[in-house]
Amino acid sequence: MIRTFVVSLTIPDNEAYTALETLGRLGIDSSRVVRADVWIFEGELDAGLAATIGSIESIHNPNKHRLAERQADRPEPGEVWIATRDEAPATLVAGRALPGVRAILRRTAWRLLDDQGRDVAPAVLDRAVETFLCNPAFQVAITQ
Amino acid sequence: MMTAAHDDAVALGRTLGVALSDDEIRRIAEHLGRVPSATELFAFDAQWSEHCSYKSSREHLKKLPTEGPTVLLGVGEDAGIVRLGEWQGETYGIVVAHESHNHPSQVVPFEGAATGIGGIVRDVLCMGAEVIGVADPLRFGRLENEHCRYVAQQVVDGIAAYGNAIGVPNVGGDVFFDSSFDDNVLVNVVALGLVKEKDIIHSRAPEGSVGWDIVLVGKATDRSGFGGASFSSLTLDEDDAEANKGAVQVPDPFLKNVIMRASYAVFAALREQGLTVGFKDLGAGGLAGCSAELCAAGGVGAEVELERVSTAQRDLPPEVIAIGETQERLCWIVPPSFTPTLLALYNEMYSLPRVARGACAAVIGKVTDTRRYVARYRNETVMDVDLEFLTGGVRYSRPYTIAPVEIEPRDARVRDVEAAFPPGGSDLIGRLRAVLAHRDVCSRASIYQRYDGVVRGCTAIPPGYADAGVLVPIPGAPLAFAVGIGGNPRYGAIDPRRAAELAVVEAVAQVTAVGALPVGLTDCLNFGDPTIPEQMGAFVAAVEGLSEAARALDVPFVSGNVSLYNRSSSGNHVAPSPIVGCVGTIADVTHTASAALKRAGSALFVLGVPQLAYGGTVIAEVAGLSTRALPQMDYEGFAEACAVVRAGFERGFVLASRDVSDGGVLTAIAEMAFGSLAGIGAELNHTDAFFVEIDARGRNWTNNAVWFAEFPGFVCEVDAERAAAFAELAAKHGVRAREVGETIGRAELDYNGQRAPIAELRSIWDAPLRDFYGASSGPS
Amino acid sequence: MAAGPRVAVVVFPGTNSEDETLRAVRAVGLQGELVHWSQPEALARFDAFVLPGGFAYEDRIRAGAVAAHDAVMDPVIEAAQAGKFVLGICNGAQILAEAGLVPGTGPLRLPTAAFAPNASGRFQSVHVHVKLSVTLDRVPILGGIEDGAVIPAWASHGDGRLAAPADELARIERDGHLAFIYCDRHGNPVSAPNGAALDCAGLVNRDGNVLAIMPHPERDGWTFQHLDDSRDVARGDTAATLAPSGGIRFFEHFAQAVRERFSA
Repeated sequence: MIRTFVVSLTIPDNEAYTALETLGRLGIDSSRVVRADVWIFEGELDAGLAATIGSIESIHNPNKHRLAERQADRPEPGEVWIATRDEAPATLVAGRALPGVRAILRRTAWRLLDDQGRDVAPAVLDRAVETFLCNPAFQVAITQ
Repeated sequence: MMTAAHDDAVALGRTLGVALSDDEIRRIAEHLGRVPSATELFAFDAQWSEHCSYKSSREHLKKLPTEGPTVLLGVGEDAGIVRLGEWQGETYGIVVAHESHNHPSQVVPFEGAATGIGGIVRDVLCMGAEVIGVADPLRFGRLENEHCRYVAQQVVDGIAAYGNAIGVPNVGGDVFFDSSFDDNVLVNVVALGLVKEKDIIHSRAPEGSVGWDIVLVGKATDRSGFGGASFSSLTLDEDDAEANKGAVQVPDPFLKNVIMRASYAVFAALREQGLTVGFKDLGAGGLAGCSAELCAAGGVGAEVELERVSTAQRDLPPEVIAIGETQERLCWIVPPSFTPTLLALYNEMYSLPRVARGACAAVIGKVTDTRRYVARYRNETVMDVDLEFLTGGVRYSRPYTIAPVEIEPRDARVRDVEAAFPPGGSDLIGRLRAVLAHRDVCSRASIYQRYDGVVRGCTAIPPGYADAGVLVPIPGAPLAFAVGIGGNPRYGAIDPRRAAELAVVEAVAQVTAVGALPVGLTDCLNFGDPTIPEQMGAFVAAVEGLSEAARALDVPFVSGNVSLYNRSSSGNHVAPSPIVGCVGTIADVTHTASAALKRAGSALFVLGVPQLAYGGTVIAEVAGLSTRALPQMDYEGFAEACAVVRAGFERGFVLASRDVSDGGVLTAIAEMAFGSLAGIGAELNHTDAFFVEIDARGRNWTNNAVWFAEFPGFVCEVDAERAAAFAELAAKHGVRAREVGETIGRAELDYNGQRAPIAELRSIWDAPLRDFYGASSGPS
Repeated sequence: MAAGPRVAVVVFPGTNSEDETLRAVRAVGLQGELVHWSQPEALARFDAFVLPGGFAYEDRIRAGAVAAHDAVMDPVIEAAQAGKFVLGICNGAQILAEAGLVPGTGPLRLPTAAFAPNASGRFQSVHVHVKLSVTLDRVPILGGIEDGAVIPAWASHGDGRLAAPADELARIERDGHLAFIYCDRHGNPVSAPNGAALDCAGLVNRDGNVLAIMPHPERDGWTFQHLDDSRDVARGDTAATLAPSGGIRFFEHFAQAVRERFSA
């Protein structure tokens, strides 16, 4: 079984803001950059998984994070996920084994929005990935 | 005023959820002659909290010695300052601050621990100092417990994330594991700064500052950390933990890195213009607490416009803007002529607004001559209180009882030890293996290697290479200083008073073991619920112990912190934990050395007198001793032993040293061998020389267990050719120094023919925390 | 003081090793100055550049990625292309990789290699030695360095694992980009503490004027910082204890190169 969780910031996201500014320098225009951590769990997962990871601060800190479950372990349209190439799946989080979890994968989700709040054209997102968001030396970009 | 208004005030307080007692709220309403506003209630809540006011502890803390020729600035401001020495005609001081972040670290361990570093670093910075080091005393619960494992991991990660990013080396600290910390982790942090005596900035509005600007610098104010001061003074309940998470601030070490550097540039501008200003960090009690304390200390007043405060969220209520404890903020009081320079440095040269959204320096108010604190928000006065009443706090004389400590008869102690160590010898190396694997003895490398111990390039002895880290803070100058930490919870559980004495002795011994002269102490007193007389009694006893030890050794306390209510709802109080830091100075860095054995053929000396007192020792736990007897203190003898070690370093006799602490003499020698790059081992062949003096008539009691006894003393590697001179030096000081063996050119520990390879012992010592925290590697 | 070559130590928001790096640059007789990210125009008047350690822009997106695109890097990249010497240490090395200056086998600012997160996933600070593992003609930036030179340093980083596709790693090795590898104090190769491919500790570009090194030689650049016998030998001798030695040799070779280039 696979379950996918997306953790986003509820406080200002300085990293997304910096990405927006840097992309602007590269001539890739968007009005907003949205970033989130994606956690993918594989194994015999029990119903309490969401509550468990919700209490692990390095995944979800309620002071600044929002935790949501995704139905698919793939990006949504308009979204790109950056993963580490040849990622060795983790089995522990903060030194802790989670019940039934055999493998944990991490992704960073990025989304570029225009001034209407719509996803930018796929070609623009591609360019952002190629020129900045992904270092192909050790990362891969996953889109739908 | 009518009691009805008092009742309204109490009702408002209860609705707002402040931690002030009903009586305290009535006193406030009485003083104001009206129902306080929400902002005022929150301000008093913070200012009168245990955390800010030391309301239960202050009357006892007065007992500590705080003066001496080494003190440049004593207790009373955010940090104390001790004299480092003179260089090129200037007097330099080391700023010392000590803080706990226990409650937050239990609730959100990563962020709590990170914020702990962030807060204490500001306390040092606001003295006008460069921040040059931190050290973390940590007390974790049992690693067999899943949640304790989680907390222990996250705390270390949080310290690493913050300290590494701001570029301040972690130069020491200690770690103990004990079940009394299962529900209440202790995360203390000592921070150190460097400042010239003439450049010290005080946390007060200077004389003649009426009309000056109050400038707030740093992160945009948000909702995080609202209610933090009173939160840290509450008992932790599992259900509350979830609700309390909002009271922990969100740290931003990246912004802090830039604010620190920008502040250094401001210090330089102030020196150039010869200005005296006020500077203080925002901690508990937020903007109102900080600016109120600055103005109260200067005998002036303040008028603050809250809408001028940069906020991260729209429409924050005024009480959050005034009292919220958003991190990474500082407050200046400067003459208006300097304000443009100040703003330009933070906002343009160091471009705070570019570094974090909403971060900036902005004028938010003026100093007045009213001695009142007035805050307005959108033309409405939300706070108007007498400064002295607000910051003077409240005092409690809490009832306490000090539990008597029973004296165990000597015969019982002998029987206890001999049951585990039969006369006639035993497998000492086997015992050593068990001691080396003990949770409080085993290698800490996998923890301190997560911290940057060498950033800034001033580290002479990094963490793990000796009992104390050593920094050489002024480039080009030989002046150095060391930082030691003491505070053993196994002793605390037996006798808080003696544990406090031993904490001072341990911290002093650690800096001595690198050749330093102790010049200042700092304490963090971590105890349970002070409303329970036995817990309060433990606190009072510990303060008496600290006081006695500090006076006897003639080292003053220059700063400190108190953390009470370290108990869970199930009634699990932390072991009484007086934790002591010691700063020691080394006039010339050439006279210090790491604890690693240096060469073959040196003499190994033990200084000090072991006692038949195995209570709370590691060997007691490992060998199953039931004794609870702690060592008797002989301060004069200990001070003389320290003088011998220091002189030994200065005269080049001592090549390496460790103090005798957890695991005793044999453990110290093994650890000295583990540090050796050259593969030096030890042969312990003069084993009769080393014994317990059983009574005043000089009767001896010889037992192998003495190799694991913990007592105020030292192990020294002494240059073979100077061994006689060293023995003579010790004799002159009346210090018992016994030569117990010598170093050898093979990496082996040899005790009267019982042998073990150093590599094998080291792997036992390395394993426990490496397996928990991940890989570590030894010296290269 | 006679006009000599001037070296800029470039400070980004989040840099934390600028002081000790500047100290090392000055200790070897160069005129070093800190230049701040808000003053890119000031960089034009420098003859060589050092990017020090730290966490520029908080390692946002990736270590070194944002700094590599910062305006303050424009003059540094121009200078590198004009053949001036550029040295990156730790975070500076990460920035040079993200800027595409090392190994320098692809277009600018489109990295072909990375100093990626350590295999352990964590920051680690350990004392190491690094060894020159290319021929001397490959490192004109280290004037007068000897074959197989061993330099003591501290590896204090969370992202120091060289990572690149297999063909790029082969190129790095074959074409002499693998400037430094990890070794013990006797120069025997050891596994990289961070899991780096090729046990790489440093990369050099094609022209040998841009060098990226992960460990910090400036943190073991004075006798009092040494952990080995050399410090024991200096016991009792204040001047010797405070003297530059060990890791400072790395900067001496850099200084020799900068001076030779400047007077040429």
